[in-house]
Amino acid sequence: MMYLSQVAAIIAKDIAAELRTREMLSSMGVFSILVIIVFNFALELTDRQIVLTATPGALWVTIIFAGMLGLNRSLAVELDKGCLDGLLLTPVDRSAIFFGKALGNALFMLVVEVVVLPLFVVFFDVPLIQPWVIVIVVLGTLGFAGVGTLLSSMAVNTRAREVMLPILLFPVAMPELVAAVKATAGAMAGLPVSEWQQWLTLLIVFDVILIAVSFMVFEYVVEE
Amino acid sequence: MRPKIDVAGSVLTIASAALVVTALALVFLWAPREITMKEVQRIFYFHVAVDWVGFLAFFVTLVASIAYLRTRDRKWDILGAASVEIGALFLTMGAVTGSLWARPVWNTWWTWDARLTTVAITWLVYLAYLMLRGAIDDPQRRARFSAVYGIVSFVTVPLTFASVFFLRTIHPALFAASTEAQGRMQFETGLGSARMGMTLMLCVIAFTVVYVALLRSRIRLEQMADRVARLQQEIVG
Amino acid sequence: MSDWMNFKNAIFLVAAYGVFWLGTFLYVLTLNQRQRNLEKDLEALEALVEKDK
Repeated sequence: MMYLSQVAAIIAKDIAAELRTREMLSSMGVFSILVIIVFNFALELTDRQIVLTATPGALWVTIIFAGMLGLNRSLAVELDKGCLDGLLLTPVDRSAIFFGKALGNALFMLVVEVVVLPLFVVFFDVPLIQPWVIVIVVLGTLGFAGVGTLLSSMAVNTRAREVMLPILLFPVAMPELVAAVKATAGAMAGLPVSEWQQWLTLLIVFDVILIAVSFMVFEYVVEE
Repeated sequence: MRPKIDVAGSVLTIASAALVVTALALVFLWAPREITMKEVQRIFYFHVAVDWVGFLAFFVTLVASIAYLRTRDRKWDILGAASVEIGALFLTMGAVTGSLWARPVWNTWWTWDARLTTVAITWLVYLAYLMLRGAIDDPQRRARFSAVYGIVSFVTVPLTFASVFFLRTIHPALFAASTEAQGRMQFETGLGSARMGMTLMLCVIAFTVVYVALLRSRIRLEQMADRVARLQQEIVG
Repeated sequence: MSDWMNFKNAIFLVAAYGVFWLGTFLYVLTLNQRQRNLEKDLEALEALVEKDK
């Protein structure tokens, strides 16, 4: 119980900090809207087939880029304000810090996705508000936030700072992206789960492995 | 100053040269001719060997990364970084020669099938690793972060392969060109496949020895750089 | 052996093996270059340390 309350405390702190300024959420939100508008013009909307094939990819690109904005912000703030050092001084389990930050980042991404999904429905007329699609989005977000938190905590400590994160994260997140896009396409089309279940399996496997590995090595990143 | 004779290095160099020359001889004189692709198929031998060793290098880095985090011994950090550098070189050569083979055979420079995509992603990971090291000045932090990334990114290789592999089984039509050419090599002489197998094995061995030789040189270079840095410290301090 | 003279494909074959040779050669060259530079630095530094003693 101690552990969970530590995690919860870290999440609560992040939420409180964000509620005060709303900087991160607003920048993630505005960015997502911009990306959607660009896709609006980039995709040939008259051809329904093209729209159906392209929207899952467009959706995940939007989520990934907005997510990276959030990840960068979240960890950069910790570094600048010295919050991480403060946290490390407390007798909190290192892994609790990881889960707290990761879940917090996932939460912010989910909040943005609550806005993005309906926007996609409105602009592209695609049936995204379905149970399976939501499950896939949540799974994808958790995995991405997990490994993203780890890599971001390294990236902000380098000379290149924010630029480093996409370089580190993209190759690692690639299989998750492919699986998420394919699963979303299957779910969106209303196909039975058996048709696209290998993508769902891959997504879950990715999440489990990468979150487990990230949580195990996180302590090596923050030890100073 | 009397230079010490580097026995191990000389042995490795000679062995590498000998193996490569032998491999070349086998590839061009002994290996069977492929029916459809004719001579161009001979690229396959070095291309596969160099890709294979390029991935082996990643495994070496994984082990070195884990060892570093446990022991904090600089030698593991040097090994991991050197292995990535040479692995990147090998994968670059593998990808380029792969394209040079693909062009005459499939009439395209590149396809996003399972193997090529995995090579591309692994190459990006190598690049990311090297850029990460370049962006950190503090040696301890650089070693630590590299080790962490080496471990985390290793998982992506089998997962990427799996993800694109599923892609191919669902949409076979898209990859018709590659599925045809891959693994369907037929040879002129009766002992065709056996000879191909043995030639390939020798090429893999040859490139593994080349890898070890290059690795050793790169490690010694880094150790020398460490000595220089230490001396500079001594003089300043 | 007439198709051995298949000129167009021979170019790719030659180019591919050229890549292997060139790639390895250039890398070894850079390693040697860096090694020579470091050896020079090392000699100079060791001389300095000797002087100080």
